[in-house]
Amino acid sequence: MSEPFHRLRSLIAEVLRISEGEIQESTGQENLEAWDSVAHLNLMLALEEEYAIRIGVEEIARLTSVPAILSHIGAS
Amino acid sequence: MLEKEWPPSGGRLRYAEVPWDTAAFGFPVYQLFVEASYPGFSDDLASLSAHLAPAHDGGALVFTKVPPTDIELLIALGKIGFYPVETQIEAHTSLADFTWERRFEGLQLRPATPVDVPALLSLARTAFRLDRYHLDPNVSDQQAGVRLEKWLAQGIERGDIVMVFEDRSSSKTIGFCLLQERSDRLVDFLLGAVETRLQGAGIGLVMYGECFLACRDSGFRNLVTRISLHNVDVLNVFAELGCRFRHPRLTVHRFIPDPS
Repeated sequence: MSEPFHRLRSLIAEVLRISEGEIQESTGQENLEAWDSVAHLNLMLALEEEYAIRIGVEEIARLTSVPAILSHIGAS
Repeated sequence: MLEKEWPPSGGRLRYAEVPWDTAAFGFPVYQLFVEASYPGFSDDLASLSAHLAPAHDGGALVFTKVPPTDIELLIALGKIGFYPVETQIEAHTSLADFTWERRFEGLQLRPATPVDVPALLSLARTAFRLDRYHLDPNVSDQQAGVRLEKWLAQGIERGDIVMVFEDRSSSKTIGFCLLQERSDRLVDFLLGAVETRLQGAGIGLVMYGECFLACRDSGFRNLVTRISLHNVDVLNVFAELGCRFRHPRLTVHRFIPDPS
């Protein structure tokens, strides 16, 4: 598993208040109950702060999985 | 709405035609006002349904809102063909100490202007999926959408508070809030939604948080609204904003088909 994934997994676990073991490289909002709409918004804010990036409304709606977030962070 | 008694002249049932729903659907819609069952309730209900049924082409829809714990009343309504469609719960909160800091730079809530109206009406027509008419198989999605569009249009016409939620990067309207001032610095949140494709991503939390803040800054001290229990995302959003919940009401419908 890559370093970017480890970093992201740690952040997601902290925001969603779950263990890191519950988060896989393919995890998304649709297969993780704790990742509800409120948690998603909090995750987007945490991403902005952790990675010093700006997330627009289209990205908020689109970044609903670990692969999508990793791809976005890599491109930023 | 003009309430009538049934049976006429002293009956214990009260009902009224709901003109805005009738206008949206093209068939008459009536609301029954029932607080509790009583001896002869089922008979009154049956005779009222018969009275309403044959008078109109295209059928009619009758609904009532009852406490979900009044099982006796629900059984009586069920026996004559009423079916449950939605339980709403009242959410309320004090705005006095409300704070909101989860902001995104590109998202803005602002008062609506006449230029915004077409986009707002389009949103109202298309953004809802879980209200009682969208869930009722006897009402089409198109009819249910038109009803909400008309609801918003009426709010605009009578001068209710209308807020636009905008994505500033594209200047696109992505949500709206319709509110009405009540007495004693209470604001009633009547209707709100974000664009369908953006739902489930927490964007509503930002919009409602900004809206609560705007209400607080306008001098309102308390806010009340009603939320469908089907709409878990919105319930979670309002809980996150500090709301508490009370007064659940179950809405039951009865569709009376066209006798022809």
